[in-house]
Amino acid sequence: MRYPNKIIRVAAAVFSCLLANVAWAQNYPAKTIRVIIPGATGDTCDTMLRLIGHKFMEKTGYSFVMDNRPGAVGQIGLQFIAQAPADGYTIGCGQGGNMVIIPLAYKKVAYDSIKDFAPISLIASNYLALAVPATSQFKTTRELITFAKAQGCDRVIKP
Amino acid sequence: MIALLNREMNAAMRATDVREKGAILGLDLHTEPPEYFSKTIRDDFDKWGKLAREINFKPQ
Repeated sequence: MRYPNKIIRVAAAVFSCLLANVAWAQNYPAKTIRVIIPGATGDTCDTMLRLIGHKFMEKTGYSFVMDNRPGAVGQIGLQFIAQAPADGYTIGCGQGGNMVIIPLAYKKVAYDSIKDFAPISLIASNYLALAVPATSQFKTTRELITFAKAQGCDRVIKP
Repeated sequence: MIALLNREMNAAMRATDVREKGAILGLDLHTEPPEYFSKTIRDDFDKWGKLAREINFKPQ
């Protein structure tokens, strides 16, 4: 699916914290892999991970268990992954919001998105849209920004 | 391990029903190597960090 307008990219991604060790990596995985979903059942991460996990199991015979740990816009789940043993048996899903925006927006975050996780795959990207009702006085983004500035809004972002 | 998980994950992503579900959810699905994910996160940090500085955003 392609959208013509400028898009905001939100990364929905899977990662794990791992330290490669050839000796036991050869028998990996020797037990069930826990998949932490830092959101509720039915959100995008959850839906895609369950679907992919099922495919993965069908093909490889690996065993996965989905573990939903919602809360604080994903911070609870990501903190859990960051603190799990780096043995490849705890993997999880992160998104642009909780991996990038939260670390930029808050002073205290319990994980470092760059240092604490080892990436596996970028699963999907999607889009954010700015929408107004059809009856709105605004027909363009420019009109909305002009209006916001006139109201004294000092945090207007260039389109 | 990462290479193995990445390979099998990407294979699952190519399955027809996974692609269909992704389309319903409005997602662009990816099947790149792990480095692509690292780069995306770093690029996003750069992009939004730059914006945060431009608008003088103070972390809460």
